[in-house]
Amino acid sequence: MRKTTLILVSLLLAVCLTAYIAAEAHRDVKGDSGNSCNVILILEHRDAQGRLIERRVKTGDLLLENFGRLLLAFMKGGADYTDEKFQIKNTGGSWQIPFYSSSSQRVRIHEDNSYIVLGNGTASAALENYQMANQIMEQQVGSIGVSVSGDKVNGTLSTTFTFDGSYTIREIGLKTRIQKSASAFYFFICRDDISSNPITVANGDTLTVTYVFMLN
Amino acid sequence: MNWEKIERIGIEICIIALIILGCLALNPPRSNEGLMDVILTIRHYDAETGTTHTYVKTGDLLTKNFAIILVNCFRGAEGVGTLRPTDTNGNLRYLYDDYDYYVGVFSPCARIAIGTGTGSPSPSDYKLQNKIAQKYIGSHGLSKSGTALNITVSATFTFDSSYSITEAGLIIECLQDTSAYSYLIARDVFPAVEVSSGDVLTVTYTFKLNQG
Repeated sequence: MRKTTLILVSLLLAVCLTAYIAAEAHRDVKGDSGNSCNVILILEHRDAQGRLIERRVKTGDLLLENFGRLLLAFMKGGADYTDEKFQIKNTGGSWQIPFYSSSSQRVRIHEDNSYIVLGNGTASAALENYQMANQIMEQQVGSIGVSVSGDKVNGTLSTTFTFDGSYTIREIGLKTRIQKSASAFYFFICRDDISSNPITVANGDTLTVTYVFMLN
Repeated sequence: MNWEKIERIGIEICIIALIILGCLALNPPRSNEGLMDVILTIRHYDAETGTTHTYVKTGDLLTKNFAIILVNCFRGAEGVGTLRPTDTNGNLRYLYDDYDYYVGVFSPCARIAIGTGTGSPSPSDYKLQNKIAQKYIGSHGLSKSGTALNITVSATFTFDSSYSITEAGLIIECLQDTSAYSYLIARDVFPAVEVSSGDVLTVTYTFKLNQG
């Protein structure tokens, strides 16, 4: 009986394992050339002496609805420029036409005003988010990069925060500003909730936040 | 083989399986959040037979230009010129609109191009291999469900002669100062779609965000 049970259990486990691995392999099949883009958030926390405390890689950073709308506005405008599908929700919660003016219909991004933002809000990230749950600080994007390996293309944005006190970081976001002819507005394109595993920083610590847009 | 040996093998299999399943449990399948796929849909109306065929290709290749334009929109303190895209004439261009702290995308001029080239797509592609026609984006759409968001752009081509269409690309325009230049941001090849005079081809790009 004991031997039979052992054999049956081992066979059952082997079947479960095979099925699991097969299902996972199937998940990665993305059609002809396997294009699946991903947004990765890399967090590198160091103490005041520069010693690495933690390096965290979080896959699946949520792309907000604003990102899709911005992409759409890049590809269509003209006579349709007032279409509500292009409108982007600013950090105040108001819908904004993203085009510079009705005559040009170009999207003018004020890249000088691009920020990575930290907060301590605990609200789950949602597609419709247009601001942080509770922003505590922001830092201008410091560097950008693009690398290519085979079909893979990585676009990176990064900045480093230096803290003047203790904080608990529970959310991270990425925002920039669109300039219109007579006004401008800020909007978020990414927000991530790390409240289930927050990062606590102390005075003098640094936190380098890097967004990686992995294409193909 | 005796029962003791079978028992030992069984126990070993159990241990290995449990270790692997444990590792998989600690590293669960990735979330759909942050994922983006590009789908190319080609709808061909055959005027002679009056029939319509649809070809769907997942995994349309995004070019290096796409990444460069995207990160330039957030370049912050980096300043203009660190990363420059290659226009459809093969020239490296700066991305700034009047002043060096703006990125200007001239959206009314985005277009879909089709061609007869068959070379494999590469991130370094900056033009179609053999373009035969291009059209401004005609229709667009946006839909969402939960955290999933789909955006679409389409263009329709009507032919006055025969072609064997094997490639398609998506082009946007960005400003360098006050001049706009074209940049290929996606290119793909597919099995030949044979079109004749009077046929209609509708090419649609779908960007699927936050979906596995």
